[in-house]
Amino acid sequence: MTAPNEKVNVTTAPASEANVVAERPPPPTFDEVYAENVDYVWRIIARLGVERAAVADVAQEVFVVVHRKLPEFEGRSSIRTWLFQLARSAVHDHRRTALRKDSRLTDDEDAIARAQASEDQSPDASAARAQAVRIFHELLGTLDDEKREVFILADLEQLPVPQVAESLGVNVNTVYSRLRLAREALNLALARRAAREGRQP
Amino acid sequence: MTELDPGMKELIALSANGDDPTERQRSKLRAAVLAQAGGAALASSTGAAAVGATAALSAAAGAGVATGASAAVVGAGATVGAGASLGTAAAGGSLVAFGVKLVAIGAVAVGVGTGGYVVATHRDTLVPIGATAPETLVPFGASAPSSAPAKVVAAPKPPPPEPPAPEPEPVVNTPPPPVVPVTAPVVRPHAAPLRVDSTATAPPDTFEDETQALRDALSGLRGGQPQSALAALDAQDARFPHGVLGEERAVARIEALCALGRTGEASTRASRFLAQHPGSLQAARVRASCGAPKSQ
Repeated sequence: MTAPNEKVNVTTAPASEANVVAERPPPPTFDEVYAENVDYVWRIIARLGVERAAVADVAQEVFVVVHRKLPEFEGRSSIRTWLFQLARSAVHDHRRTALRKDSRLTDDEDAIARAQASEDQSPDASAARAQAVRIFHELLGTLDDEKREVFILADLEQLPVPQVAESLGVNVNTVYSRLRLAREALNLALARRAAREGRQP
Repeated sequence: MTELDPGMKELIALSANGDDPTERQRSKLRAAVLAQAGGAALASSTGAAAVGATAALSAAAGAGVATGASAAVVGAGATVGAGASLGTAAAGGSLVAFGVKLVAIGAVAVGVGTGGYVVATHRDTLVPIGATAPETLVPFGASAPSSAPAKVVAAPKPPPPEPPAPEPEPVVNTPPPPVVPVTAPVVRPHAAPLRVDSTATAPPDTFEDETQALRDALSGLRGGQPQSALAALDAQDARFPHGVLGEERAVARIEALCALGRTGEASTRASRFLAQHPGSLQAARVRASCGAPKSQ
């Protein structure tokens, strides 16, 4: 599996430049970054369309890079911007290779997760949520990558538009445009789905 | 700006947290990351006897097996080098082998054992894996000879190998094309460089600078310092006359004016904004501000 960082231009500043930014606070520790962002990264990967059983594998790729590169992280962009780019890259790798290193563990985890979810809630609530998640992913899957990425960051993660733009490397107007198209597409997809379900109850 | 259908919003609310990991998944992932990160460091230590936290982790999790590592070597009172190549191992003393790759016994030996056999060159004997050779081989998992403390070196999950794909990795910043065909007439995002770090390409006063400046102003505003936020926004308008965040600054300015109680100015600017940018995503923020037109 290719390390996702290879395609992202992560900071490697010359020493002289390190002095310029010396007043920045020290980079956070891996544990801090992990604790604050594991759910974020996990969600991003799942919502970018990685099948459930492989999310843990892809997330592992991301955090291994984080572990290795964090000392060089200079805070030029926010941690979440960086993490998103790593996650997106890892997801692309995953799709391209369709490589599942070891699905036994993750399938296992998935079963455990489902069991735990059903312990947490009444069976009805759990089933309803599982159904909602399934439909939600189905609709997300109708978006192309550009719209989906913007929608995930802006409407689901509620990042400020400038940060969405930074995460994606596009300008804010592009973000607005894509977000509008994404919402329209999702509304349409939902309406179509409802119509389909209505015809075939 | 298009709003999401109520049905879509409801669906999102219903599936909230549905994509989050469980506590167990979180801790499992963390352990796997640390094991892999530590394992890479181990492999790079060029075959010296390296037994550390990684070994303990790996042993505890059975990672030598579970993570698909190709071989595990246990040396009791021995120096064991499990390098990335796994082709040779220098060892002395008792060894315990598991797996189908190789275990070498003796001073320096090269072993080949893919058929479940171990070649011990200094004796010219073949020992089936899992069988116990006198005083030298015991199955993995069995306790090592009690005379010496067992050290465990689980061959680490190999460091990320070269990509299996025949063609070389594409250059920086060129992810593969989206899987789903692009239908919308919008700029392709991948044409634009990812801006993780722009030291190589970005001129002074980049989009990132503008973004960061606005972020600072907004945090001042949220932090209860609308006056200084207002001053910062003025400075930014001057600094980034052709910036791309003009709309954001205009809205932030309206909110700052509201926070200062300068409702009249806020209202004037809000009306102007809505007239100039009727389709702006920021329009909702303007309408939610104190300067919102009363008629709406």
